[in-house]
Amino acid sequence: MKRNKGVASFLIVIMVISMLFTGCSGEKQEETISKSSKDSKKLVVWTFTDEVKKMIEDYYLKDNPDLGYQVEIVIVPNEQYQSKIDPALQAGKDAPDIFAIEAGYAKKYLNSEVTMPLKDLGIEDSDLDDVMTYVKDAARDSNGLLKGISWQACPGAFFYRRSLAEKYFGFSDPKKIQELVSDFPTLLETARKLKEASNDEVKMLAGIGETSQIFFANRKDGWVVDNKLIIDPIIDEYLEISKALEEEGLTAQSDQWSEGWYAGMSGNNIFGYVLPTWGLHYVLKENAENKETNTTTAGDWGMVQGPGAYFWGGTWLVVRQGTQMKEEAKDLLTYLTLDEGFLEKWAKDTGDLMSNQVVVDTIKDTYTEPFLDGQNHYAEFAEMAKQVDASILTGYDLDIQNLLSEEVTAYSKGEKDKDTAIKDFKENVKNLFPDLEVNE
Amino acid sequence: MKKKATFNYSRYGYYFVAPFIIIFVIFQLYPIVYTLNLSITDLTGWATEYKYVGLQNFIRLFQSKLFIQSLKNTVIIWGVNFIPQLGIALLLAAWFTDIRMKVKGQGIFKVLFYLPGIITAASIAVLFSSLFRFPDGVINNILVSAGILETPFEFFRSKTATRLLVSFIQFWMFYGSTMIMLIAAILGINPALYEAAMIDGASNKKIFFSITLPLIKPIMLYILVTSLIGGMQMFDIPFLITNRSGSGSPDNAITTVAIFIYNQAFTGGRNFNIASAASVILLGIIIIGSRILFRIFKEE
Repeated sequence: MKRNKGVASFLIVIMVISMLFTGCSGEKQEETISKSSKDSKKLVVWTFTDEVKKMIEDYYLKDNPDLGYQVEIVIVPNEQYQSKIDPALQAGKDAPDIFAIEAGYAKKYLNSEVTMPLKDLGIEDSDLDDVMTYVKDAARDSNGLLKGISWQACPGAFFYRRSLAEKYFGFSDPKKIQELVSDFPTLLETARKLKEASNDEVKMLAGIGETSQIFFANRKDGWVVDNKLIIDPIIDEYLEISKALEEEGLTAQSDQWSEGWYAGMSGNNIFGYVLPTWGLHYVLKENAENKETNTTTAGDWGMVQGPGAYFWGGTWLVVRQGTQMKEEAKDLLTYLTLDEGFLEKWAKDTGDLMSNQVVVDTIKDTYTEPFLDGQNHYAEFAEMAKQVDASILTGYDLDIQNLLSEEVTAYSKGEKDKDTAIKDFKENVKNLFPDLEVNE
Repeated sequence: MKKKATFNYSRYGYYFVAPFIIIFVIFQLYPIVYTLNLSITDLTGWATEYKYVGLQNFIRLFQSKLFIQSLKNTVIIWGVNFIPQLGIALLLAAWFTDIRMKVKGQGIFKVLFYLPGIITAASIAVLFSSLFRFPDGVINNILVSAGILETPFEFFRSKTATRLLVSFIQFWMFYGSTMIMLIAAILGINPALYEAAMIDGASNKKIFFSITLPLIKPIMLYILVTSLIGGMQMFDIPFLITNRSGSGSPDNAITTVAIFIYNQAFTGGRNFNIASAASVILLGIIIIGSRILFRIFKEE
């Protein structure tokens, strides 16, 4: 009798425990089921924008209705992307077969073992002959091996308000405006003139953060060479220009992505914005309308290169080393990035600048952008993309540039002198990357 | 027969706590032990294998200005929020439970004071960073148009202002729940004691310091210890309130230990070893702090 009770209670405990476990690991169980039955193979794609999702759902799956396996798309917001995907890649479990990376941290993945060289997928360098050089350079590992492709190119430009240019400079022709912003000293001069002419009502730029992408793109060396932190001489100019802009009140003192920054796009107090291809379609156009006054700045914009060629952002696709879905991954990758038929359709539907020079050349002369008062943004972006140099990218860029921007702000607002700012910058870099050599 | 039944009951007790113990071991004890283990290794970045390096990570941490800074920040922000929080909660609790005062609309006040604690920290961080925005946030507009300031003040570039704001938010979010706990504690005191004191002609002040305060000591200890633990692990508000390029701006003034740990483990070189070592130090500080509190309350 006693023994029976013991057995019964033991069984109860086992039951409770097993219930707990099924409760916790329900997800994983589904996984094993789907893996064991062959018909429900899954190609998992991780990305940080809904662009890839749209491309796959509206184009790829429609062109390939009988794939025989599912394509699962996981969207993780950009701010959390790295901290979510890193553990997944490290564990290799529940990891994506294809994942998207952004220029700011692309090299971190490309220079690691987690990404597969395109050669191993059967995609040769010669298959990418039509792809723009900078797009390829951004996707090479430290040995020059190609590991990713992108369908797009994201060269950057300077967008300005035509009506404001007309009012304060007397002309609004892009060619003449370019002369006013051709390099940073000239831009600074123009900003001073604009401040005076408008009686301090119109600012040249939204904030000091605006210029950063141009400075970063025009460095001679990457942030890290041979495991050493390199501070390019142009960073000094970046600090000085920022300080001048800030001290003389030449900006609207709004950070990028802040409410004031967006508001300036529909208002009349900011002359221009430094933005790339996607910035035109997804940022400027979306925010051109002023809901309070019911006015819009659409059609009042012009586009020039600005103080220097640069690119900003862009999504590259890579395949995870160790994926069980190699052929399927290759098929999707090839379709999204090399299939000229798809690229042309996508370009026409979205206005996105493609990385494929042949596609770009066939369609570039067909555009006139009413938002830019009829300027052909596509042809001009295509020209700008040729100037871009992506050979200096490193996997450290995003973290290091974030740390620098804090010091630039502190210096330009007079909170620190330059030596302290640089010293603190180095210390913070050393803190995040203890293995890096940093000169004191 | 009876004896046997009681024996079995006590055994059932173990079975009923088993689920908790099992979950605790898997999801808390194991990670703690694993963290202790990682804190003496060299595991960083993409590596999956590690070797043991002794106390090197701890030495590195104590030499790191930023870590020391983050410890200081945490203590400052916690201290500045906790002292007024306990003081005001005590005062309110005393008022609300005072038989002679009979505060009207008590229920509404209690709900109103408790309310901020219900809102998620993320929303509050966004709300405050928008209110105190520079140069055209609501607070700046009010201060300038009222003539208190001539030009807008950039709150989130001033170390003191940013720390004060974080402290204030912590205070504002939690003084309500502290107050409710204190009220519960005071209501648990035998009313006969108060009646006796009143008959003897004791003043409100005297009653508060000689009866209320000594008798709610156990709850005070509980509040102090939980607040210490929560305060040392402070993460969400300081992490979200200044969103310029990561966290801790301006100049790492609000980088708390938890943010430091997060940055080490999930950004940059992903130094799991250093993050673990910092977690272990944080655990040590919390244990020592709690021990000290227990000792103080015991001695009195």
